[in-house]
Amino acid sequence: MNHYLRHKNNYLPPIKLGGLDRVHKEGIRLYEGAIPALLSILSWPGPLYLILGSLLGLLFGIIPGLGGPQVLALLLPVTLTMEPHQAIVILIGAMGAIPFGGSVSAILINTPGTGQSAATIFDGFPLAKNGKAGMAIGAAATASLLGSYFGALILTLILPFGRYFVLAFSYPEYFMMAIMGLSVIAVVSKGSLWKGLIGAGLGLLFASVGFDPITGQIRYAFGSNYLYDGIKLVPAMIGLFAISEAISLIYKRESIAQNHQVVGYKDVFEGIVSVFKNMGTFFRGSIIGTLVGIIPGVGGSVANFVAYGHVAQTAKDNSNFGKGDIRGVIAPESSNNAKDGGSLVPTLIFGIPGSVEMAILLGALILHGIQPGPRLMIDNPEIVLVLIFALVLSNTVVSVIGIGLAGPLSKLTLIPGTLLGPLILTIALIASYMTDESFGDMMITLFFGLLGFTMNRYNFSRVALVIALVLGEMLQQTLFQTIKVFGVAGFFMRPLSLILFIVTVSLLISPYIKGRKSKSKRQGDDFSA
Amino acid sequence: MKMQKIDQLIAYAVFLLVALMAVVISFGYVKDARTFPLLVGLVTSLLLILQILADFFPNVKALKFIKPINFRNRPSATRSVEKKENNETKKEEEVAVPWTKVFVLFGWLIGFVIMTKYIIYSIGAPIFIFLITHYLSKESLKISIFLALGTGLFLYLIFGLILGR
Repeated sequence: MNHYLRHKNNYLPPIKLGGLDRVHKEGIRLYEGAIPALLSILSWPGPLYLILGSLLGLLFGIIPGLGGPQVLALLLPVTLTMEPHQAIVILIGAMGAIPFGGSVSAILINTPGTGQSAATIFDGFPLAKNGKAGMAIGAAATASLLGSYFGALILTLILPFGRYFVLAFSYPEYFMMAIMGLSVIAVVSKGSLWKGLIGAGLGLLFASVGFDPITGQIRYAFGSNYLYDGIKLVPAMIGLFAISEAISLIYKRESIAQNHQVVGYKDVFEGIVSVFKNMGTFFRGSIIGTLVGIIPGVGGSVANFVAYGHVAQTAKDNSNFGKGDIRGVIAPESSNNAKDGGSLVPTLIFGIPGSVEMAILLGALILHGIQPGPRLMIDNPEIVLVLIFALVLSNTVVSVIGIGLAGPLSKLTLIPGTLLGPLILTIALIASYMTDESFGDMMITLFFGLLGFTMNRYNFSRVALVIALVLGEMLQQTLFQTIKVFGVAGFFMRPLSLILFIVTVSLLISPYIKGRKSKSKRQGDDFSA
Repeated sequence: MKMQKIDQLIAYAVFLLVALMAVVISFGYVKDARTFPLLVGLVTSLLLILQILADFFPNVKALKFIKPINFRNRPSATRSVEKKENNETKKEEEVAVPWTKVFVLFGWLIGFVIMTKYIIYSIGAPIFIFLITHYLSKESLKISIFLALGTGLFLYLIFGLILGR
């Protein structure tokens, strides 16, 4: 305990948070500017920029390997001559559309367009294989739209006092978040938990490649400069899922939906309705997404795994998860869009970018003379509101487009594998190359393609490997930082860390307890019969 | 031993080799950099050894705990469905793509990577897609040419024109 107290103040630098009076004043200023901010977006050419940004974001999201950083980097020079609020509209419009675009490719070709849509493949692609791609896209579009509304609402409400929440997170909490994400493996290991753990072990080993986050020593690089930065997530995921899927498509000569009938818009409508039928799943996904978004540096890749895992672990009947359960689409989709609202909290309040996209956005704001940080709420409250409204409107635009295109898109699953397979292979390899124009990325894609094919053939969980690869670096970094700064007791002495630990343990053991209870109940029934 | 079992043993052995190599190599690093991969490598190796024993000696009672039981909440009604699915999985395994074909395809892919390195992607991609569609997928010449040109144009529009690469 003393150790913990001694180091607590060393880690968290003293920041003047201001009293409730300041929070109240900032809140009033923010909400007063709502109508002018909305009008500034809706005045011409605002809507045009919004639609252009959203369409570009959707396109970049759909293509595996491209994503937020690329589309923002592309648009940034274009925005230099625009008014600040117009620049924000086009940039946020593109950024807000990325997660849904990524989900479309995750559902249709088993390849998440971006890391933040990775968990959508667990149930989205099985739905497509069952001829229900339209339903999955409809549910994804609706959950994304409502999730973004939820995230924006929470952002608006908590901006005046969000700084307290951001500062509540330190190394032990990050570590517990990683553990919570890894606990998902217990659910996603189809058939064998043992093989799921082996997949996770391999994922953690791959996460150890490159600079050690503590000592800076280079590990497992074998003299290759490319491996110094570790294994990149997007090329690895493209290989694990797209390449191995394409091989099966080419040689088995079947379409993705195989012999299933694809009915188009009727399924899409069913998907939309499914979100309203599973509002509990939606709210839990959105809350998790917003909270994870607020924590700097964690990002959407973690949010969608945690949301998926939580919903799968707490569902009364989770036997269909991983085989095409619509709740497995709703949870990650609502979380990865709600996360955008949350991730604006540290960016706007402290000027801390929580992700690469946020770093570029931060740069764009500074280029336009807007300085994010504690004074933003006082100096430019209208800019904050423009950001929030643009996020909401871009998600509305892209979801409407997504629902409109879901019918024709779902027909893609009927294209013969002999045609779709070569297309997926080519686009996957070119997209992984184009991320950084690196041949190393292509080689990583090929390596993970072979690994993914082998794992799939012998029923090892590829999903467990991806989760471990995503969370591995955060896990080892925060493990050592916590021990060095707070001591081992630090994991359990901080209230938030302890709560996260208890929640994780509860999620892991509750299925066992439920199972034992139902078993003893069945035995009791048999005995009385 | 069946051919499929030999394939499986080779795959498991490669995984084990990777985990053991990670352990051995980790001894070359300083203590703080070593601890994490060393621990993970050892645990993964142990899990793999037990998995190999469980799969290749299925009658050993001491290894029964490794058999596929997981944390899922399974209402009794779903169990018959799961049994049916397991049978379907077995059927799927029976028609698995032969490894020789997989390696042939990877040969093509390596060729494509080399082609992208030495010729620009906008030419390499259509050539690759034509060759693979016509010779591997056995599609007609007309369809293969159409697909190759269409994909080449799409890639050029996105990466060449929009992204300027």
